Amino acid sequence: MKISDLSKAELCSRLKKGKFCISVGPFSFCIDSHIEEVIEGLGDLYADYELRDHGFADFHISLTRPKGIRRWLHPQVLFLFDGKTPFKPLPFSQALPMMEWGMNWCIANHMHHYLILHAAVVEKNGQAVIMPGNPGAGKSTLCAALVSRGWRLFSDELALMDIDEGTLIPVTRPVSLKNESISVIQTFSPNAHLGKSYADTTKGTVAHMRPPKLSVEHAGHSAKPRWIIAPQYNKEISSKLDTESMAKMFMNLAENAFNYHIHGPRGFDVLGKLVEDCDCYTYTYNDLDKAIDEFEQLVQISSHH
Amino acid sequence: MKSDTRWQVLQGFEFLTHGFEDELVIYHTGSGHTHLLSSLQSEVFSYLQKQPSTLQDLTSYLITVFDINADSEFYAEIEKLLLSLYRFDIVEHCQ
Repeated sequence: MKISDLSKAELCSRLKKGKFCISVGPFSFCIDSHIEEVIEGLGDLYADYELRDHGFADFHISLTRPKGIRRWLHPQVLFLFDGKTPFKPLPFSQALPMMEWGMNWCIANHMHHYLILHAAVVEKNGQAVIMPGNPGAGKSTLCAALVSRGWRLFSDELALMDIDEGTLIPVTRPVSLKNESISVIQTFSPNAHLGKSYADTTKGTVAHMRPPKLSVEHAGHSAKPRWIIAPQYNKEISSKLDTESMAKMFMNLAENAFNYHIHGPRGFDVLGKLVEDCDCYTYTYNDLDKAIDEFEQLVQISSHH
Repeated sequence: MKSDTRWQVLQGFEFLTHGFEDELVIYHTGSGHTHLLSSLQSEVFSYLQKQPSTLQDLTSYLITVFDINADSEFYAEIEKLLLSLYRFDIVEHCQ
């Protein structure tokens, strides 16, 4: 059964009883919350996800109001993981963004049998593009644009690598868009489904794009990494794809990885092999249509070889 | 730095390497740190892996490898380079 098959009452009931479990790539989340914002957000952004049995789950999370005066005065929301609160509370109105950040945190801080890089990943024809980038570089915007034009979404934030196979594993979830990129994607892809905007978060205004249905349905299919492209949005400079040295790209990935340091020599080997197997570029862009064309060209060139 | 100071790659730990064209990425198994070495740094690293060397010997070797007309400035640059590798615990003094 999909989440979109649930009535609002059933959705509420499951979330309130802790019987709301979904798969996110290879992981399972069991979520409970009485907060309307979370209930609506899950029903909206995760509409195409299958419900799981509420037995074992990798992560049991909860979004709840704190006890005490903060229930009423400047109300706040708490993120609980296995009953513990890893973060300070946020304003109550930011319950949904907090859940999304918390879910990223759960994966990045616990799933160390994977190498986890800070990068967006999209795929076409079985070949994946890894897009590392610091916050604000424009990787989520480019990722959202690509998936709204037929690329398969793996993640806008976490590149999950199977260490033994050298493949990328989808952790398909809503794409987190910030500030100007919200209206940019609304204009670029009017059919993209964006949830509510949340103003004044630590990252500015945040809105989430529902992952394409096909990406959700194919989240069990891994892909081989083919390109590593570090994007940088710059409104002053028209599109520019430059070859990047593999050594510099190695360092970029290592420095921005979530758990490279945990894997030690094995991580070093895996990352080295990844970089050797991929074409590495930096990509400055200011036009999403052009960016899509250039990414498509890469795929075409690759399929001719 | 004394002219007779000899340098070698840090002993007691393994360094893993990936060579990419003329650059080298190395992993220090002792510290767990990863470093990017330029072509000149990687040449120094490779040379010192083979044998301990003084700054003078090392500079002479690099002059030959890179086929350059070196002056005192080059000598000073190599000294700086050695000190940077020293700061990263990649090379050390030896007898």
